[in-house]
Amino acid sequence: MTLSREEITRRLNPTLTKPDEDRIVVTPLLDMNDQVGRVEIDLRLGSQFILFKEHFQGSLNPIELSESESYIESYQEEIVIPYRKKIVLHPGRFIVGSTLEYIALPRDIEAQVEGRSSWARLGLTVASATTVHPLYKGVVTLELCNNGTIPLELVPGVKIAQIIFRLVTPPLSDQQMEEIKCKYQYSIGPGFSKLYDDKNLKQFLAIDG
Amino acid sequence: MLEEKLIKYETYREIDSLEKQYLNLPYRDFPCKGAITAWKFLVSIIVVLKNRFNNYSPKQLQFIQTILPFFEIFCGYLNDSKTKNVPWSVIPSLEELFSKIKADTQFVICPIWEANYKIFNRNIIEYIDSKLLRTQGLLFDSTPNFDDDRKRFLEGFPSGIYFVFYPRTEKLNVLHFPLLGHEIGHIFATGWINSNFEYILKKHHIKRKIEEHIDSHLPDGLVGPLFKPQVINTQALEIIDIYRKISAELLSDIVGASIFGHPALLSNYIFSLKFNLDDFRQVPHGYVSWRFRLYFIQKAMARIGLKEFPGVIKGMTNWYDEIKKITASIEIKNYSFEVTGFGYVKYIIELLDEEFEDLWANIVTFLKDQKYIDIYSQSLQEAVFERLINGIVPNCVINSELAEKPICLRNIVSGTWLYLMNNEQLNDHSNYFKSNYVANLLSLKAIELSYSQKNFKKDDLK
Repeated sequence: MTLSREEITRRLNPTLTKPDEDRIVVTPLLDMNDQVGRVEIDLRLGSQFILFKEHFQGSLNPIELSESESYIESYQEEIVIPYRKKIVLHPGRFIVGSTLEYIALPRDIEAQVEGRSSWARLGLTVASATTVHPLYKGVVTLELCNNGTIPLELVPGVKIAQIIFRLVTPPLSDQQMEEIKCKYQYSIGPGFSKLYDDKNLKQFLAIDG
Repeated sequence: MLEEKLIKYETYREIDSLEKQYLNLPYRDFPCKGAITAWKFLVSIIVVLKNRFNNYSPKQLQFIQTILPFFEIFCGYLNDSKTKNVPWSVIPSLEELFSKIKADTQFVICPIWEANYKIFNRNIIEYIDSKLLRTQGLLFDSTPNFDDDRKRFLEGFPSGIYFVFYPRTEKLNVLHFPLLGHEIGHIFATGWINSNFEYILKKHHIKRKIEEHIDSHLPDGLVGPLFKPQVINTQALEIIDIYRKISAELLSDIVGASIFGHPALLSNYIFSLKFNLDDFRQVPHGYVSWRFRLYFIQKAMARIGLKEFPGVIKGMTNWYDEIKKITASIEIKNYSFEVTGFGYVKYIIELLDEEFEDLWANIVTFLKDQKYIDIYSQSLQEAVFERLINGIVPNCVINSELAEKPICLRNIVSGTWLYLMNNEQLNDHSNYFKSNYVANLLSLKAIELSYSQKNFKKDDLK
């Protein structure tokens, strides 16, 4: 069930709700009336980005990625674009960004992050890993790709994505809450890929034969 | 003649090389407004020096050679102040806070490979102005319009730019940012001491008191009666110079405490634990023991009106009590010093302590009047604390109408200290470290977000 504006605003109210139980946090909401829609909240672009160092590397091998935490940093670098300045995303290029807003979800809510129609019509894809799990806390990472044919100027602070909240039934139990472990919890900017933390990949590689 | 040619070629080569270095700096990537301004100012000077090069005499070239090393040093500082090297998300808030201590002044916040916070205690605009701009025939011709040319050149630049440094390894440590307050305090302290110190010395008869002290402690027969006045005078001047340096350091502590409030004392307390609290060996450079500095910061904070950490939550270990235990052992009259050879130190400290109210009454009054002291809010600090406990970025408080009120840097840092003090009860070192690390990241983000919230209408990000 998708949350309506009324339910979203009720859950945003810190005087009526409790963290982790039923409260949704989306902060800052620079313009509440403008950002909260009928079933969604518009999210703004943050000022940190991760780019590929295309000139220095050939291809990226996920198997090698799993061997070293710092390996990914030889492929990618982090940059900051201050407010009022822009980053130009050329056709076919991919960068990792994040929302300006910090999100915290309670145990009974999951969310989907999607692009906004206005940007999609210009060729911009905003998010490909779209699910935000219950109890996630942090900014939302955006995988930005220009699928169009003209370069796009992106300015930190611009409304770029939208988040839609859905009810999880039944909500996570206390035990599930204890067990929850998110690799990207408490992110304050776009983080580097943590494929190295993927245990299944290591187990698969360990198969003899 | 050969020497004249060589110095000319060599100086030109150096200026040309400096120009290239400066033009290669990524000035668009400086998060500090002060760094961009400093870059523009220094490049303008280099360009004029280069353009007027053929006019310079060998003597002028030699003079220019004495200034060029500073341009190299400043270039290095600016290069270090790039976004990736500094805590960029908090720079706008820090700049805003620091500018309140001195109007029309900008700062370049940059890292240093040292375990210390520092300031290049020289206003670079004033320095370059006094050395180059005011010297006739260097940047402007010696004409009746000389002064107008100079003023026109300075138009658009602030009256002050300072370089402030933090340890490179502490780039993201929100809790220790208040240590920068002491460094900014130096700007204020230097100005105040230059204007008031002689007057204070006379008003309080400090030189006479010191001379009497020396006289009464000179061993009999050590100096003949003919030379005694000269010896006393020389020693008194040395001690007064140290007295001035100590005053500057302590004043800087007071200003730092007034800028950041209680976190200034707490961060100094943590920093002091690395040292012997009763080490007086740095006294000739103006540094009294840490125990005394903590005592003095507490004393000054009480006078300014910051009597107790207002945000301490019931049941929490109050580090203030620990600091009180350290400073309680100071009874100035009986404070015994472990380091010998600084017999006058005790006397200087007695003087500073006894005359505190009179000596620095106008500073304390000035600091009390600063509006940024009033924004210290217990409820906001507790809101920060609560948000951190819940893993939420502590950038604002929200009322029942969902209106957000941004929390200022001072209260975010104070609330983060509350979290740290509370966390100290954890016995598990690993959890203590991890949860503090997360709280630190959330506070960094909070400072960035609260600044954008506060300035949103102006910036019109929509």
